[in-house]
Amino acid sequence: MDLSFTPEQEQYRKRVREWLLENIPEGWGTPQFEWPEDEQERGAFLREWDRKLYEGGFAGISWPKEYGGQGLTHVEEIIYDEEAGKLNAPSGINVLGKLLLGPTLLLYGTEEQKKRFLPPLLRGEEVWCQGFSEPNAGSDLAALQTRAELNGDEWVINGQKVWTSYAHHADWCFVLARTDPDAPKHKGISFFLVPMDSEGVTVRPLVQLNKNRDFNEVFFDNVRIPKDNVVGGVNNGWKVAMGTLGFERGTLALGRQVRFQNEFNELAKLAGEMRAADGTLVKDNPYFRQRLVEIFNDIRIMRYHGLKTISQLLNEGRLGPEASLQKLFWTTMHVNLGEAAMEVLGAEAPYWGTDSVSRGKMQDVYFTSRGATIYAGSTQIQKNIISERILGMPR
Amino acid sequence: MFFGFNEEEKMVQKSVKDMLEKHCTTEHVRQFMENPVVSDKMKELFAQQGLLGILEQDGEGMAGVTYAILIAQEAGRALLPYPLLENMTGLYALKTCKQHNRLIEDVEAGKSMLTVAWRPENALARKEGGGYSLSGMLYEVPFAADADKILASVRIAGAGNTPQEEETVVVLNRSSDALTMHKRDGFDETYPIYDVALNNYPLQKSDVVQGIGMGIGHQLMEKVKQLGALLLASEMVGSSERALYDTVAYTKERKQFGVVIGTFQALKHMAADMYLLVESAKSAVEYAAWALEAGEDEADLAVSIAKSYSSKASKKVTADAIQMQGGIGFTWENDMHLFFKRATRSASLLGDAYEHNEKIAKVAIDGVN
Repeated sequence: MDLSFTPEQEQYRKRVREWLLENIPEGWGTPQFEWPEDEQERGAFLREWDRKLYEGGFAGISWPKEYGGQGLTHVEEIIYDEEAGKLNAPSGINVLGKLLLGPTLLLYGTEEQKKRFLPPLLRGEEVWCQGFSEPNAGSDLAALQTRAELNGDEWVINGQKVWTSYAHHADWCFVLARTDPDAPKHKGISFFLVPMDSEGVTVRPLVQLNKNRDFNEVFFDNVRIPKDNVVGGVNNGWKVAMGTLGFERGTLALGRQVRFQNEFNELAKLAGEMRAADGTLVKDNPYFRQRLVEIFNDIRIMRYHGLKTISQLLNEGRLGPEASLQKLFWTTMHVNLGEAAMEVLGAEAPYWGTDSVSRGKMQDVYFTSRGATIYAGSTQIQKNIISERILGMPR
Repeated sequence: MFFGFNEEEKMVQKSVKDMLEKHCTTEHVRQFMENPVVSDKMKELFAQQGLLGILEQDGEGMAGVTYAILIAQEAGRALLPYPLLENMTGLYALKTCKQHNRLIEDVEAGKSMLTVAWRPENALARKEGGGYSLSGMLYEVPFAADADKILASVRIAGAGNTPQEEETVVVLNRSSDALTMHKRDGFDETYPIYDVALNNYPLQKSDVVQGIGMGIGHQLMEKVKQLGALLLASEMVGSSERALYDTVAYTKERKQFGVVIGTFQALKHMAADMYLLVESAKSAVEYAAWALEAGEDEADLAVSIAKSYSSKASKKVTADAIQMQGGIGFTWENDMHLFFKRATRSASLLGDAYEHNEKIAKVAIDGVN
């Protein structure tokens, strides 16, 4: 067991930190920061951050150099995530491209696809969104009904996607569509790359319960794309998609962990200001001390799980169904953190935004955490995966 | 960066597992419950393994903690009726000192068995002749009736400016006439616990470990307790993992409504939650072992997290195992109650979740205010 970083890696950490301190937009993450009202301006701001990251050498850190990456390992990737987390740096707008599509193309894409799509993705020029879920295919993703039919040299796509994050900013969408309606449901699906400016693509925004509008409905009405925009072979899309979801569940853990630790520290500070019903400071009240420490323990353990996953990725080169454990763990913990925060705030809980003593931060945790237990395979789906694929319980 | 075990460590764990699967089945454990005497066979087996004395100080850090947690995990899995962690941590304490080499050899060879008095109360030694006369109570002494020596932290009057500074770790002869024992009626019958009363026990300077008073004994005993807490946490991981896997196996056989009950999502989701608790406790124990070995600043914090988390997790997992097995799980004949009781005893001793959480709070909450 060796959980330490090498001197070279520590050196890299220092470089990342220095670069971030110099480049994080002024005021970012503070209450004084003025986030543009206009959705397009917000998009432009985040694209600019992605461009900066690329120029600084912090985009595609573990991707091969020939596709615009840095040719380093997952360890440097993690170090970047951790430092970015500590300083609460912006995540950019191409999260899905970097986290999901990139690794998928590296694994299943043709040489032409990698050369064509990866460099502009990293440069922040082409933003991606993910077209998986549909109104009638959520947890049962393989029930998706969007169709793609070959017509000459083009695929013609018809159908509807939903919960499509960033679709209103995206230039491209990776889409699962049914290419063989007669095959068993997992076997007739293909993975497509679709330009969002194609004729017949319509994006309709959805407002989330936290008042953010990150996701959308996307309609495909006779959308025509080139024949070669399939990844991993026709009718092989399920396998490709499952690989993609593995990335979504496994990586980024340590960066996220650091952000949760920051949130916890803010909550602990609030506990030093708020008073419990018995008049004691919340932080001195035995109930709250126990309540908060159990969350702290979970956040630390989240780090241990993250280190284990990374070790597995480095030493075995792949992620197994254990990634489900990690997702189940951190999403449950984050919900618990939000709930504890509402308890700490007591009578000050029900106000958000600038009218809240936490400037809306704790309310944001409370509401946003409710999404993570649903997206990328709900809590219940993760429990099915753990019980069936790890514990071998019968289907 | 490697979070896992090397081949040698895996081999040691496997050999202990194989050994206990053969010589410490639940039938053996139940025989022990009827007649709670540690078998010579068990002493011999651990002597042959040669790993009891694996914990040692190593500069700022420690050696052997990784092996120790793997062995303890197997002890928990087997419900081992033998004072494993008392002997491992006791040997650690003896090895910090030069004058107990003979005893160390005997314990490692299985000729002598140690135990530790985890909770001394008013055990005070006063000067008498060339030595001391020791009287008072030692609570929470596992396997006292079978042990040859008891390691205890007692106060030596005048050896420091505060009661804490007076604390001195000593080795006592269990067979002394000055010592009487009372076996507590513990519900975890795999691990008998005794109260020991000392009445004018003749303590010699040669019984002292490391040094007299001046805070030395207190510090040493704190370390022994910390190692004990971590090994106990690892035992709980082993016990709960076995309770989970045995129960999952049962759900693949037991039929209701015409199908095996393992197909029901209600049970699958319980099992998944249990798996999450077991794996998380395991990661916490493993990380703490690494932190102790590496001499990391956060080692104390990591051990407290491991003990706190495992205590809650193992009670929940072993209780849910009973629930999942239904009526049969509630019977004496079924083994689940043995795991449940052992988990509850382990969770309560060497610092329960509340106590360790309070230690953590000093860092996690007070540290940012």
